[in-house]
Amino acid sequence: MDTGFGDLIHGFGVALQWQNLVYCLIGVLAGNLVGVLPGMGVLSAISILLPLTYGMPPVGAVLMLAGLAYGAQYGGAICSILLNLPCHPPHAVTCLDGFPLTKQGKGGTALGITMMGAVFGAAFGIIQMIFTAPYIARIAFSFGSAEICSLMLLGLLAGSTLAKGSPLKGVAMTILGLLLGLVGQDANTGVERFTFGIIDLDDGVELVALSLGLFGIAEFLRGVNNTAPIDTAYAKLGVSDMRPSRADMKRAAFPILRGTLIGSLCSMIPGTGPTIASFVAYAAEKKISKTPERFGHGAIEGVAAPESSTHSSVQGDFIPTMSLGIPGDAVMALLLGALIIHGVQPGPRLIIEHADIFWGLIASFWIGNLMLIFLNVPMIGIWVKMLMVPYRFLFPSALFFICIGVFAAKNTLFDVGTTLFFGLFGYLLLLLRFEPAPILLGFVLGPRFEENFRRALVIAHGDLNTFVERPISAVFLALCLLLVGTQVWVRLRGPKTRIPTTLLETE
Amino acid sequence: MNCWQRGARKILLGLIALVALVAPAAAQDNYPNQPIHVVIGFAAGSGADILTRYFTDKLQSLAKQPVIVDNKPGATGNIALRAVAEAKPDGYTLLFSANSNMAGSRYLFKDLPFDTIKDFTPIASFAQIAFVMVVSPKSPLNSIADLTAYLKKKQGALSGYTNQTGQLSTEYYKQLAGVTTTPVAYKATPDAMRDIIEGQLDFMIIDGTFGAAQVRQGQLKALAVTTAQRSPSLPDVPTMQEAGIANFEFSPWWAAYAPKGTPQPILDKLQNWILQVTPLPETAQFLKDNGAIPQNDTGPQADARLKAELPKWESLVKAAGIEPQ
Repeated sequence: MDTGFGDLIHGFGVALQWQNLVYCLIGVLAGNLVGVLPGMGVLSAISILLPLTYGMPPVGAVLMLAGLAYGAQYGGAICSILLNLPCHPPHAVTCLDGFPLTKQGKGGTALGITMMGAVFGAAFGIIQMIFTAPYIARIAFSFGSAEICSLMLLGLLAGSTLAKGSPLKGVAMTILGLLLGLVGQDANTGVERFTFGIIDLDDGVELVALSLGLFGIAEFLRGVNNTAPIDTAYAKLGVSDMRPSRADMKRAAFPILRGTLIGSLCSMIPGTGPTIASFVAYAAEKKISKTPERFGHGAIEGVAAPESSTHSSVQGDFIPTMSLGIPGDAVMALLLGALIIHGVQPGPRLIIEHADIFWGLIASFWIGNLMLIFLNVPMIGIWVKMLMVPYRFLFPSALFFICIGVFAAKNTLFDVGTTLFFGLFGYLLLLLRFEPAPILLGFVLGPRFEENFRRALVIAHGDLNTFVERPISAVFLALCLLLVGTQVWVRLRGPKTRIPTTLLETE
Repeated sequence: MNCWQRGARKILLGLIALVALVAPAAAQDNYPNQPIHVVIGFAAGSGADILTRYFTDKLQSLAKQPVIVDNKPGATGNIALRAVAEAKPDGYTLLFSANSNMAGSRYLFKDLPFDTIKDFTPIASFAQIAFVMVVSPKSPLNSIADLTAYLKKKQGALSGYTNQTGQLSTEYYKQLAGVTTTPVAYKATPDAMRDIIEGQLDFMIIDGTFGAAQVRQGQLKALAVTTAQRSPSLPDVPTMQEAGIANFEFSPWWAAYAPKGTPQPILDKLQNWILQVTPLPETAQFLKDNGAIPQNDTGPQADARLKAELPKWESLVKAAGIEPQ
């Protein structure tokens, strides 16, 4: 079959099983909630829920964690528009025009438009996935060690050079991740590397401990020091406020379309997450607008474009993650980790070997987004009230769940200690403005790069040409060169249209 | 301190001594009066975990106490072994382990904080796992004799492995058949499967727990099983010995172990229970479905079997060129 419609129907069969529906609902509900709560990122939320999924079937686990990832995008917009809180980096830019709209009494309209943009963007992203997947599946079996090695190299380069903030710091963090990935017994020779004689480290640093430390504990430590009182003066509105006027609809229609396209393009480039997509969409919209002076004072386009861009990019991000095993950002890297924990090997063969997970996930996107619309419209009031939960209750309970979760992974206290270590270390990094996300990227991709590199060489009897002689591998290597080339060229030319880094570092 | 106090103290000390003397005997008589923990070195949901849980379920109904599986994966099983070696020898912490850990680890690791022979007492063994020698379904080779002849001619043949048992049994075949290959390590079975199906690897010895199903579906071609008897899950596949490799026997087997010093009456009780489970027709069916063969050894038999295997493991680790860590 040329497109995946037959498989998609099978996917709906999987996603509509009642337990999977429940997992999906829990995921989007939790996602929506953490999207609203400042200080609780998607990363920390996924890391808290991850251990709960050990006992679940892999399909349910993936649907739930993915639901969290895209559900949070809905919550994030509420915070930005109604409260002027950039709780969530991709929505930071929405504050610029969303909050002025709220102050003008048009917050409901902004949310309504956001919702439309979100649905359109998400739908586009999902359709894109349905059409791309069968092509990737067709070449999947020609992916041997050499191909996977070159693909991982591309993912590593993309992740570290396109990271937000200082590129030097990004590369440094990726390398740190690679080093952490070296810990443990080498698969080829059995040699123990960086284990310091501790047999608990023979299998390397536990992925759950590392991610819960870096994204759970470290983020909380930062959040604890940053809890300003929240102004909810403008946050009261009803369902009827959310229907936009015809003029607003007309004004927002094209920005939604353009935002969606930008988002889907960004999702195609590995290493470019939704944050970059929404900033690019906002900048583009402002540039082509005939009235750029309205931006920043409540232009509906300034809400529509970045929001639809975020949503299409979040959905689109699942394409490289699920079909190639290259995560677009830290959230996807963590989802990739979740797949590995559940014994599912991410990579080109995932679509064939785990068709139920792949197509079930796509079908659940439709279901989940539908759930989110029904959840969001009547529940905005409740979400805003959630902001009143005191952090002295929220943070300790989250820490408690993190410790339980890490212990449950392998029934060992050693990993709880590892988590605390990486929590403190991650907090230090945050204070020094190092982005911890590339660490996870290096940690997840590095060992797979090494393993496949060495195996490809053994199979080719030590001939390095194997990487360029095999066409798919050669294409990836060419892309690597292109990526590094453009990065160098852009830097040499000097930053012309750089995204304001201060905004990117708000989260 | 007056006389009365001193007397009271003496009585008290006497009582404590009495309790200390009587307690172990009492503990043995009403064993088990609390949940029993079975530690394994594999994650929940793995093949080894499924095998273990079948037996612990049966043990639970015989012991009339909960039998809890503690999954302590990591460090090729050494984390689980360490936990049991350090546990109190009271019969409430047991180890289910394969011979690869008890016999192989001795030669693969230098500084283990336990001794796999001295610190554990075998209780009883219960199952053998048949490993399967497979080639690509596209391969023209149809027997071990074909493979051996092919490997003798080919330069730089490749053999894959995903775990120690696979690696060492391949080494064993190479030794006995007089062939050489370059071993290729895989961390994940699906990667290895792809390379064997696509014919990138010349052959591989895989765990029959999942390999048997793939052979039956025609995704892989089986040339032989590594056990001394044919596997009930692949009755048409010859053993290595039948296929012409004399003396070849490599049968990973599972047994229950207790920490050294566990009282004999407790060991006897446990051994009896396990030996009751293995002959059940239900067990035979379960083992067949999972590519395994029943193996009903008493504790001393398992001990003798293990000790007899040691030289073989030592020489294979050396032959594979593995530097002990």
